[in-house]
Amino acid sequence: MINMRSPLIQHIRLAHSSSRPYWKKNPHLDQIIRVDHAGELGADRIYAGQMAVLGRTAEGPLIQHMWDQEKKHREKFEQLINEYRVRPTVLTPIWNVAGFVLGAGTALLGKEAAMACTVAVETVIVDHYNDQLRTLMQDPNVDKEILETITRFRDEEQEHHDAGLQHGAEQAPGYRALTELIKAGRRAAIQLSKKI
Amino acid sequence: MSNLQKTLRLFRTQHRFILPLSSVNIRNIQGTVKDYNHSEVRTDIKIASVVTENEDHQYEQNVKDVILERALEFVSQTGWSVESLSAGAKSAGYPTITHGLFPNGGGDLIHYFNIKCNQQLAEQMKLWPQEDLKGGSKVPAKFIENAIVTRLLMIKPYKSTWPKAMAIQTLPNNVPNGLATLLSLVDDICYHSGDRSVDFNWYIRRVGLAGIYKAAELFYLTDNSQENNATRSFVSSRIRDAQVIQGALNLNPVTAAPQTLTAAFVTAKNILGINTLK
Repeated sequence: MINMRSPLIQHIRLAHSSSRPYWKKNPHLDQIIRVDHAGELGADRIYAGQMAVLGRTAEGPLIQHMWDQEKKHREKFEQLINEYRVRPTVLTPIWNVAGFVLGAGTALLGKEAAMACTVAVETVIVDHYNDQLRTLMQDPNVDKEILETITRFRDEEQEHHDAGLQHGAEQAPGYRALTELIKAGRRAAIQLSKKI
Repeated sequence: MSNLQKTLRLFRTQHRFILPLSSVNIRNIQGTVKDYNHSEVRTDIKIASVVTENEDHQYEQNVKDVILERALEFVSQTGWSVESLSAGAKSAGYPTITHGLFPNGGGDLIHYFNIKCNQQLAEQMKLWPQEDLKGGSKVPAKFIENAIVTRLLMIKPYKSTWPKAMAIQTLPNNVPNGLATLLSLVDDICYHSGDRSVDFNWYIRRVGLAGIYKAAELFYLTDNSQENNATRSFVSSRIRDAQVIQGALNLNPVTAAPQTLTAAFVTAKNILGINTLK
């Protein structure tokens, strides 16, 4: 498990002067926090893009509500990054722009497409959080705070997913193709953010 | 009092008997809990084997640390070399051939020294007061300057041999270690000076600081001034440069437009040879 890591990262760990107990606790914790922060950053920007286009329509309040929740998630992970001294992903500027473009782009295709985008993104995120929870629970002395945080966020993301379906995501033009495309992109983004 | 206890106990026992169905449920749950316990025992064994492996590793590491620590005493005579490691092993009570524990030779000795210094610096920085950043400047310049100079002064006992050490660090097999200790050093300085950025600035600050540190290290080697004042002023002016660059990057493009236009105009005039500022 540890051997799979690149040698440079291992070197950095061995060289770190201040002893960092969380790495002994769980070797995956830095990856988990980094990728989750990147994910919430992306989600925040997607809703920002949707609000820029659909802010004045009937869906405005709903999107605003989801956006506010995502902002809170992002703040929480920013706090965790500082607390555990995790390196943020190099790709933050890219997710910043890509998230906004994705949100605004799908919103321009109509509100159904925007909801389809929400559904696709939240599906992947919920799966991803579930995977993380499984990884974390294998560890007997897991960090309770992180476990609870991720569980709570997972439930809220699930709500967004359901809200998207209720607001006509499936009526979007080319719903299947659109969601599959977004899901694939999102999964690739997760894999990238884990490592770099 | 005893009456109250009796009635309470009565209530409890009655309650237990009133609900036979729930006790069946509990028994089911206990069954699964038992299974869980079984699997947990197995993981316990796993953990135990890992612990002994860790202990072995820890023991080897301790031996290495003792030898390296002793070897540092010989650096001023025999440099960052295998000879120093052999002498260190000998003075720690091991045969001189024990230097075979360190495949990178002098590189490992330098790595150990760097880690030790970084640790000392981190311990010190924890005690330093946080700079008050409300007064205009956004960079804790004094804190960073102190940190860099303190770290440089740790090289002082080995100053004469340090150029060789810097050269050894650039050998291909020592580069990962060298970069890792440098990164951990600048990461510690950034963290303790109050940097809490979570975006790309995280990288800009650390890379910038690493550059300043390495430049200051080179400057320090040839610095013969009293109490290293020259190094100190070199570091502080490099930090000021970094602040200027950061300020320029953060400048709003609209407000900077007149300046940019003027600069472009002056450059154009210079190229055309009609410079009026002569």
